[in-house]
Amino acid sequence: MDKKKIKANNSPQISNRQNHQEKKLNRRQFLLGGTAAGFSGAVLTLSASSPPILSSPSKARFPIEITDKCKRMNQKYTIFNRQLWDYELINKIEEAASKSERTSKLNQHGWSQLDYALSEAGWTVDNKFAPGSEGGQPQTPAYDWDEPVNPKKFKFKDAKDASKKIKKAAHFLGASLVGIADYDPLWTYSHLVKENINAEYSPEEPPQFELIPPEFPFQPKSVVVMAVEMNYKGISLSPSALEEAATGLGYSHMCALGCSVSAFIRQLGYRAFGHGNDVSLSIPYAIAAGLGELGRNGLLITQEFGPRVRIVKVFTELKLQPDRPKTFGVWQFCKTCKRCAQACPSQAISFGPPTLEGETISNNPGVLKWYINPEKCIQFWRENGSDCANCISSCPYNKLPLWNHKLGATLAALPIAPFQYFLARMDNLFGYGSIRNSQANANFWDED
Amino acid sequence: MDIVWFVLGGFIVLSIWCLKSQISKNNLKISFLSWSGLIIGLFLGFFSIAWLVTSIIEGETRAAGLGLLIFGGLALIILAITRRKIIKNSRPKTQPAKKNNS
Repeated sequence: MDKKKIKANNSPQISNRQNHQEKKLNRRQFLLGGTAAGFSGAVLTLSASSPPILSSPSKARFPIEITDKCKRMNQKYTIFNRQLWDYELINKIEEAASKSERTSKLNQHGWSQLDYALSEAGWTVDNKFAPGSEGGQPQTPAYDWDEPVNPKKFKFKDAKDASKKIKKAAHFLGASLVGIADYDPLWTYSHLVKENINAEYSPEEPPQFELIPPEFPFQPKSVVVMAVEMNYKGISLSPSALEEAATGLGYSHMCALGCSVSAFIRQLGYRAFGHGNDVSLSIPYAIAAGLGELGRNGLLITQEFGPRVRIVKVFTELKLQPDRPKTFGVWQFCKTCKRCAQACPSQAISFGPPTLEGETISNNPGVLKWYINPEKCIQFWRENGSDCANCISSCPYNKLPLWNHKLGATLAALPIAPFQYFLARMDNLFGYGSIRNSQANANFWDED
Repeated sequence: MDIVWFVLGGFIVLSIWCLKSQISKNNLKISFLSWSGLIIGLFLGFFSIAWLVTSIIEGETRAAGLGLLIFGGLALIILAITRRKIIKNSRPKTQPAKKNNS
């Protein structure tokens, strides 16, 4: 380089221009980097605050494999109704009940008079208006099949309009989630158990019940499927009387919701009736209606609340536009997670892969899923002296609707098995879903 | 929770302003890698604060502590390494001594 050029390059104007160019370059880099960071942050925030971008609401096919082996289930084989006639099971449960820790736990945190009072309070509405429905008793007062209908039929624009209005009403009346499914007789019990719940039983005489066919006063065309959220704090205190309170309150909300939504539809001139655990299987309808996916714990896993929901349905002759099943990575996540199986005190949840049949006669075969063992489950309930919701409480999808959990759910939807395994372990490491001890039960009444 | 985001937003703006003033005051030379380190480090730092506050509000103290440890710790490490790199790059390069041929 000759001396003139060197001198020109070293002049004050040149060095100022160079400095200015360097600053300009750094500022440009800064702006580029800042914009990129801001854009990434916006995308993350949006995806954290809305349903995961990887969910596929347009999947029309039912997202679980159903083989021809799957038949309509006889309600007498549900674990609750088997306690009316299956003496082998009854003896096992009596034996478990005799070992019950309930009496020894009295006045301990979670088992005190205060806690039981709350449990009874939670169950009150269900006990008054739908007694026995939680065990499958059909046609309770809140879930009567044949109520009067308004003779004046409301004219909807079309099925889509009807669905929109019904969903709006359901949300107004207290539903946390609403979806519509087509009526499918496969999910209706082939026979219903109608128990004489007012009979006074004695050990010498068996409980009185009859098997009745599900002959509805009308042919259902559509099913309004609704989920009600259960109390997060209550469920987290499983297994205790406080968790029973949350469960009971869920049933009471179901009762009120099923009753009022079916009344709404009847007032519009169309026959309808609500039901909970009775009449038909809830989870397949909920999946068909796009409320969630099936989890390893045998429960519906929703995006918003995880498995911390109770499901109530309304059958109606009104033709509604059905929703589509939705997937958001639960099936894949459940393959690696297994938190519920680890948290189950009776080992009733499978650690293995999904199968086409379960271990007991209470499992209806023919569907590819993780079958739980309801015999082990119910025996623990009797032994423990209360319900159990450990599989709900421990599920990583059971979270409050905060940004960090929505971000986690979005990341969990990524179909990368090692990453999902890592997320499940991190969920455990961070202490989420841990089964609470008695101190947590004690704190319940003192917390704000 | 809205106040938390508001305050966090204020911290982010303040940090960017401080960073910018430091860069211009000390005439720092920041490469693309250093910029990446700064952005990732700061993002993780603010992420850990947001995580901490949210977990405390939720009542999950273990999650709060571990979040601060993991995300905050990672942020500190990245920022420390980036700082060293920036300082090293920004040092004026000394001219090699001329050989005396006499």
